[in-house]
Amino acid sequence: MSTSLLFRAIQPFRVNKMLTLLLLFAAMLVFFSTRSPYFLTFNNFMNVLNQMVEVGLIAIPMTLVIISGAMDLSVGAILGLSAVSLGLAYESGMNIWLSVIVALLVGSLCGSVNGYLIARHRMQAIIVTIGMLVMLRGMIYVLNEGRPISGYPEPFYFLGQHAIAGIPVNAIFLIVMFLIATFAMRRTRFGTYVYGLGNNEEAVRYSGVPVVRIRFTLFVLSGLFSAMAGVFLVSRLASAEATSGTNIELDVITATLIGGTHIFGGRGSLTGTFMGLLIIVFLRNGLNLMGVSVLYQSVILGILILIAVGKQKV
Amino acid sequence: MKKIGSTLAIGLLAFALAACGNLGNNGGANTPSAGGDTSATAASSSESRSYFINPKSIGPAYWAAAEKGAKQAGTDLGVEVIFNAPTEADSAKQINMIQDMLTRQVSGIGVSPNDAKAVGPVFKKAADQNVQIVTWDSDAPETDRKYYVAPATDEEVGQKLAQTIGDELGGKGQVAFMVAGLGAQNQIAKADAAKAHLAANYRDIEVVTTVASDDDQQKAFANAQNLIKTYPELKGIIGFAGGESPAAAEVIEQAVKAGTLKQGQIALTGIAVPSLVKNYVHNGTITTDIIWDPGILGYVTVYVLDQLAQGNEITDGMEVPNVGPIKVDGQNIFIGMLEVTKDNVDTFSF
Repeated sequence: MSTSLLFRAIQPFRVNKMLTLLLLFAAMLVFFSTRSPYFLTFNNFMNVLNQMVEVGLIAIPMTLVIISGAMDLSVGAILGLSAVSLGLAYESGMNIWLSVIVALLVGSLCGSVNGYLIARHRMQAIIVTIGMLVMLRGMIYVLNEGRPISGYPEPFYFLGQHAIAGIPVNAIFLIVMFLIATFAMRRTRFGTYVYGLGNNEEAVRYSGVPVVRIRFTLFVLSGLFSAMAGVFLVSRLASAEATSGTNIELDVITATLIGGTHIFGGRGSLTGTFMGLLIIVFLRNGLNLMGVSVLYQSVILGILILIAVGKQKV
Repeated sequence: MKKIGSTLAIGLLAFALAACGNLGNNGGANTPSAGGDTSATAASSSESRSYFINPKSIGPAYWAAAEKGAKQAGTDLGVEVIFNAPTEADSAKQINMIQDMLTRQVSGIGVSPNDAKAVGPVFKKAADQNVQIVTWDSDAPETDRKYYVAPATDEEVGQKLAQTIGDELGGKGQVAFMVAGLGAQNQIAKADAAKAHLAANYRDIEVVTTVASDDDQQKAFANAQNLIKTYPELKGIIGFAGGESPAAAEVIEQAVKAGTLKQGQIALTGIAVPSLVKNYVHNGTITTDIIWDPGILGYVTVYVLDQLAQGNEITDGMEVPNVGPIKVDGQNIFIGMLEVTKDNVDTFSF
């Protein structure tokens, strides 16, 4: 009797993953604010928002791709290639905003190669995107010979270094993108199909849904958003480097998994990913402010992933 | 559906409230941090000065030795030293970390930038906040950094290496150069200086070739093997980057073991951390290895930042306690090099 009561009492917490995440996040905020007087300040919050944009932008399509039962490991390399393309285009005398469009096209193109192989030829997503990761990263070094490209015009820095009413421009862009994507996932057939793909691809196919086209679109989106992240990164750091975006896929997937998206697809949400994102960036920021060595930070982050994925049953 | 939406809204709201709640404090007297460190300027005149020392990455023994020196300086000067960096040499992560430290309102930052250009904006932000900026080990010219703490100029390092090999050869014979990259400015400058020094002081020494490994250990190894085969008369090798002389030493020892080379036939020197060449120095394959102490690099960086934060000037020949005098040339500060020999190789911790 008493045990069943207890179960009923904790039931809502187990069911509502979002609440668990919110509580975890709130606990983190309280903990860090007692540890560092600088944590709970407007400046620091805006600083963190500014830093989470690249990971956050890529996390949007990544969540959809994972929900659809696939995976994209090439996002970091696409980010790097787009960033370097932007730099090279600008260096060759092109207008900066045209260079941005070039970068976005390059990203979309890489994404469509992924999509073509995975959707049309039904190749394994992990293998295709690992291949792309290695190949694109190599291409970056070939293109720019390992040297950073810098010296962009002042208006370009508006994207990554400026703020409107104290809120970084890139953070506003990220939040708008999250809202649009959330709307698309909730209110359009596309969203329903994405969940369907992850749950039972065959059933969705036999229902006459254009499976190939949807999967293809997802990977193009992934490429496009990675390129956007590349553009914002270059604007923020004022430099396009060959190493840009290395290992960013780990942060992106971590945020997605902590946010409750199931690694085998079918379940997950963008809201969860957003919370996961807040948790990892604030965790890192708080530990940095406390002066905790980065080595311990990795350990703590790893434990968080294990806890997050540990709840997922096959 | 609705529930998730409202959860997000509440989350954002809580987030915004938390942020705004402290906005007032921030603009005002900064109540939470009562005790003196209310702003960067006030902090530098109080006892609670703190410095963020940022290497390129965390892990290699070289940086661990630098950390020891920086922390020691913190203890000696009674200031707080935070030594941290990303686990990989990644510019974006490094800059995120510097930004975090600026919100912590440290009095100064000492950075070894992964990308000299990319640190520009964050250095500018630091300078606007009246935070002292010094680069160390690697420079970022054309930024707001006040000083660059380095072991020595590339010319001095090149001359020192040339001097070492010239003396060991008794001023006669063929010498080969091994560099990390033919395109890297710091490598070119060192090699050119060594060449000039040899030409001026040791007329009978001939530099037969310069080979580049592109910082690839296996390639450096292959380069050394080729040198021995191609130049049977070769008397000396200089390694201009950290991986070159250990690779050459390994090749020479293997050739000696195989009987294709006589012990001591080729003199070898270069820049390498003592831990990598310890055995070769004991075996006599390397008589003198040139290095600087990353610990002193870290120590001097903290010391210089602390002087700057207190508004003191940095002058040439200025005495750094526990280290000795430093050479100041414009915005460059040099700590000097060390000779690693059989007698002292075991005393280094890096």
